[in-house]
Amino acid sequence: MYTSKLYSWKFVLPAFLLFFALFLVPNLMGFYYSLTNWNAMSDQVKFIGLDNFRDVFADKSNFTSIYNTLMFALVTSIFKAVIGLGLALMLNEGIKSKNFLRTIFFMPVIISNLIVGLIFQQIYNPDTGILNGFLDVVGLGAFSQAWIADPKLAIWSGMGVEIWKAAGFNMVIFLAGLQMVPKEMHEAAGIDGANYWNKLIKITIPFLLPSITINMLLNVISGLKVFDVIFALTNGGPGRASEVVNLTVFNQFGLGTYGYATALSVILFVFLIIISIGMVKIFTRSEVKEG
Amino acid sequence: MTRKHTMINVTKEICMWILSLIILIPVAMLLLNSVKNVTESASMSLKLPTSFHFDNFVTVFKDGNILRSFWNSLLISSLTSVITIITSSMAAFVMTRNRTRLNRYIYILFLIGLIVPMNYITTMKVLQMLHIINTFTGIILLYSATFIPFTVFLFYGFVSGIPKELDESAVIDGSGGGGLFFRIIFPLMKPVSVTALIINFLNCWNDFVLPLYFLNSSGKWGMIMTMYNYFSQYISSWNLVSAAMLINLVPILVVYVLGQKYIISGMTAGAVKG
Repeated sequence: MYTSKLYSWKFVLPAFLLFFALFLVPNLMGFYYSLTNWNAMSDQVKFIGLDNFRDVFADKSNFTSIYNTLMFALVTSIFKAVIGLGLALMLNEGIKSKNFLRTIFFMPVIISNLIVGLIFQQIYNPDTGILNGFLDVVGLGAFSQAWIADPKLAIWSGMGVEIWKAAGFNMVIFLAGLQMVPKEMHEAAGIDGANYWNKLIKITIPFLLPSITINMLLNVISGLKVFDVIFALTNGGPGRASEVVNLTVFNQFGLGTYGYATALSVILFVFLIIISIGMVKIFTRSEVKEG
Repeated sequence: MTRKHTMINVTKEICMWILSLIILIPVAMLLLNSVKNVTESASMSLKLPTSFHFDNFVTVFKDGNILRSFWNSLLISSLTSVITIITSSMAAFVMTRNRTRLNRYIYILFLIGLIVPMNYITTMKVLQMLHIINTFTGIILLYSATFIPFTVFLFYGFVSGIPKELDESAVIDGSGGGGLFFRIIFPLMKPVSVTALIINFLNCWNDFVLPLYFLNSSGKWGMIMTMYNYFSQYISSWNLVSAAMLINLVPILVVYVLGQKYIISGMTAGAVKG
């Protein structure tokens, strides 16, 4: 009876208004402006139908950018989760300094992407960088590369930075998930003669499915939105070889071709919605099966 | 048996320490080069400096506009965090307690906000129409708008755990909705508020994308943008750039070490509940 008075809609209003006006409205406007010739040069905004989308797909280098973004999301998601899982399993119990080590492995998550990108620019330097230096010292000098100067390699080097930065995040999610695995089950399996790998695959991993879901979902979402790491590391170069969609948007913004840039943003929006919904569907189904 | 176990654990520990060098070496590289001279720092190697130049930090403090940008960062990050926390906790409170269909839909919209990207170009248009582009007000409200979905999500899970009986007893004592929330519920949400404060503060402090798009006047830049500007100006003096980066990193690392428990609990809270 008192519910609507006690829990008034006025409490929701400030948060919703801010979110609505500065996040939802721009996104909705994007759908309209992507169909116009909006640009910095003229005041008139004219409706031009799907021309921007046609132009986007007519430009071959945009394919590189879209392909890079999808590959970036896919590869970094898998490696972040696998490395994060490995770290979590190692640091879950047994080791004395585990809390200190967790602090170290999580640290890159809270460091600014800009600083990380700029530091790795130096690490990847073919002549003076410490990565090639290290390879020389351990006798793998043959594997030295022009990590970010080689157009074929640049985006992969960018993925390396992202994995370096965010594997620790996956680790803490997995560590939280590992606390849900009942110890008794491991003990019982041990008595039955199961070895480490049996226990890992038959007991631990099924209990970790929710953590795997959330990690993969967050990894893919942040992977598709990638901007700062690539901006700082290669700025899309050499040429446009390591460009990602959000960087193309930023560059087009700088050129003043707003309608075109908005069309690219809309494409990214659609990708994110489809891929996220698809992933949620796939993962929830597999969880139900296991359960 | 136990001896074998200790052996395994010691081996594990040693391996993990070696592995942690992958994280520590880039930081060490930054530390070492921030106290070298220009020529030595040009290669950003891990060699020890021949002489220690702590004056690099003095140089950066003198002409990097660092101090002003520090205050800018502090202003933007704290106001953003406060606005985000108050609005999000209020919204989450009412949405969990009063589960009308409308509130459900609004919550789903917030969740969608966690997934979809921001449309930077049209956001610029909206900021122009509201006459808050290139202002502190604009950037603070914009940060709040982008952080609200995550923060609402964080509070939503927490409020569900606060017993509803508390509300009823407060009402019997004569509290209205506002009194109930600010005097009873909000103080109970302290742990999650601290978490939200730290995470939003760090995200805001570290972000440079929004200023890149929406803050053109260097006088309003925070530390990250000023550091970036410094980097482009002194691109060949890596000793100074390293020093500027460290000045930027130290406040973040201090907050991290002190608030680590809160950061991790906040980031995993959503994950565990799905």
